[in-house]
Amino acid sequence: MKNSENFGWVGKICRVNLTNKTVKIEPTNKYMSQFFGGRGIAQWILLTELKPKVHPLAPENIIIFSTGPLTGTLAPISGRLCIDSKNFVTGGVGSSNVGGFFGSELKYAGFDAIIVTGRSSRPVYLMIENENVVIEDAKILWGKTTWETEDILKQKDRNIQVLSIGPAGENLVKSACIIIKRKHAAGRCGFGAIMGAKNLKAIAVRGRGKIKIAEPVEFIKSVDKVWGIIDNSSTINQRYRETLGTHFNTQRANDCCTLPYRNFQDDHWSNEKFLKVEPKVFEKWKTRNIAEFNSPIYMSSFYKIPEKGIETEGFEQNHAWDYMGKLDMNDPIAIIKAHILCNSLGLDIDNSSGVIAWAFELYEKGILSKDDTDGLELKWGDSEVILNLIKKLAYREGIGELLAKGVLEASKIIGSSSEYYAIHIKGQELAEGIRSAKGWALGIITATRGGGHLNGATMTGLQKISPEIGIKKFGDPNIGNQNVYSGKAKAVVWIEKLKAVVDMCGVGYHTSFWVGPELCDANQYAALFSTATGNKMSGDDLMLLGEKLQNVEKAFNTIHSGFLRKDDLPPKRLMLEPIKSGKYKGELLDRDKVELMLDEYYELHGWDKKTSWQMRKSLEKLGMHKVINILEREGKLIEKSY
Amino acid sequence: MKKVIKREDYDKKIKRKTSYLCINLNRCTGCKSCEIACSFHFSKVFSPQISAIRIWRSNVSGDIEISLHSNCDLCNKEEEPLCVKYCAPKALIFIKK
Repeated sequence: MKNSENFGWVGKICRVNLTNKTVKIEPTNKYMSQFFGGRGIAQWILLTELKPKVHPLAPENIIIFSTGPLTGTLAPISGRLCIDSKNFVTGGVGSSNVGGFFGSELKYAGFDAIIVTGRSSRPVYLMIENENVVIEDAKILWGKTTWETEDILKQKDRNIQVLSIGPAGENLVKSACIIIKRKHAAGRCGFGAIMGAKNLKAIAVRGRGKIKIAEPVEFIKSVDKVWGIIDNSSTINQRYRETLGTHFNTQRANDCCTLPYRNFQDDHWSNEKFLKVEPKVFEKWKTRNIAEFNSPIYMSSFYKIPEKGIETEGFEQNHAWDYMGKLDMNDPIAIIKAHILCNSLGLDIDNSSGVIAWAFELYEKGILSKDDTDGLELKWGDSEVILNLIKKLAYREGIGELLAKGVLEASKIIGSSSEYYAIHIKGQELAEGIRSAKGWALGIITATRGGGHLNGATMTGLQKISPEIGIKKFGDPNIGNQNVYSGKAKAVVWIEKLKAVVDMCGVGYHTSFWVGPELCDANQYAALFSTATGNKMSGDDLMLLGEKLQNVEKAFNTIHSGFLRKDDLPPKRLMLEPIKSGKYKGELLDRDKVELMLDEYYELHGWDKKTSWQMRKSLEKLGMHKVINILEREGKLIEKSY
Repeated sequence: MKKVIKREDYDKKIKRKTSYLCINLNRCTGCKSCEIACSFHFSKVFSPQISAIRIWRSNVSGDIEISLHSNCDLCNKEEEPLCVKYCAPKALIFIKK
């Protein structure tokens, strides 16, 4: 792909080696032969540069902070940042996409991406200002929370944007994440610990540059079209504008039985519980809607509770699954406190709540006793104990030492039946209820980074998409029936590709079909991309790149973590214990039917059904010869399907 | 001799001067769409640095400050200022008299 003029992109990528303290600037063009931005370029670098035996916390591991050609422009939700590295939790693909204002600021500072490798001998942070990258001493920041770190780094200029880790990352906790603007988390994958292992406390960025557009008039026409689609979308208006943001979806999640309860003992909350913590309860504290950079969609709210001394941007949907559901917390103030605590200590809410809920269940079943829990009684919903455990986890105190290992490793240490209660996908804690919605489940169990609903998890069933749209988009009238297994793989594979396109463009997922069928598909992103960069691409061209990216990630997983078909199965509990209440009472993930969905999924990708690995002929069809060579070298390329 | 200005000419002259950019701080989400739209008006690039409108949202209190530089020309020649056009929560409203 040629782009000598740097339209859309700003044209430079910075490579920082923390061991040698070197900073090297490279042209973005160098990396665009395969993919055009964000997650695409990052995953390609990881696949081609990282040796399979490198430990995620080793200095050789690479962590990449990248944007896309639409980041920082008027294309909606354009402040996104992709963070990619080898996953500390699964050992395979690590990828996270985070909002806030960092991605756009990085581009205004003159960089499309920052690639960090090595390990500093002492704590440092990166200061990036108008094309200058300086490695600064972070002695005064070490030990500080993400909130304190951000406040200190913003003292010089309040427009500086900061990403940082908290004590959890410094202490190499598996559920540690990276935090931007106090509340936006690059969650999952243990990225906080990866930065901690590099002794990299934070990155601060301030930019006064500009992003040029190849065809400004045509670009604005494409922007207006997308803006119009969003403004006219009933999903956006009803769910994200006059509400508390994504938290509003809790009602639908409960109706659809995707709200986990007490470590997945159920996927539905009773009416009595729901009323205690429904979005309305929080509305009295809301002072305004909050949107991230250039977002016409409001993801959260700001809460002020003066009598409790609480001022914070509110939480989103995942927090309802995690700390309200999986741990059965019913106290709204404590729920907000857990959100503040996780963000400031730099803990991912999905992973941290997962391992804590596991400990609660073991206590309930008598596998753990007070002797193991530092004298604490782990009673479901006890907010004081839960808040205490969050701190212990971040600082590895007492039982926190065990919990810091993540649910898979911790369950191997405890043994006995504790492994059955460790609810994870490829070693990473599960956040969502998945028994009732089969397409949603398939996307989550096959997600390359190990769970999460932000890859292939289709919401077509939860949205009850009409048979007409189902036929038009996927040739299947049942796509809107959440508990039907057949045909869902098609939607999952399509959504996977669309998400890859969105991540490569460097914008947010909430403008896409994933959120509502009336929203954008690849054609709209292609129009934005083509007019911004001057490289003409159709929606199909972009979707093909999406498919290639999926194959790059699959190859990374095969080589680095050796995942097989069995690793794409849901946790045992969800295949054996049905949902106990709600509209979808009795639903579970039937093993045989899940296997059939997986068959269909691998077939659509052209992967081997026995191992789930990639086949030569499918990769040849995509022209991915370098991936063939890499897989062949490792002896993990399937020549013939069995 | 003092030039007498006709009433309709005076109104015509005043028209641009009495257009207002109304700001409703409570509705603002702090997304900065107005900032980048503004820079596009000035130079067809995206760069908050050259924008006449600047938004700042406090992480601590959630409070928002909106500053308007005196070089704002209310997007002369456009149907409405671009900051207003791309303000999703309608915190910015253009009143043309």
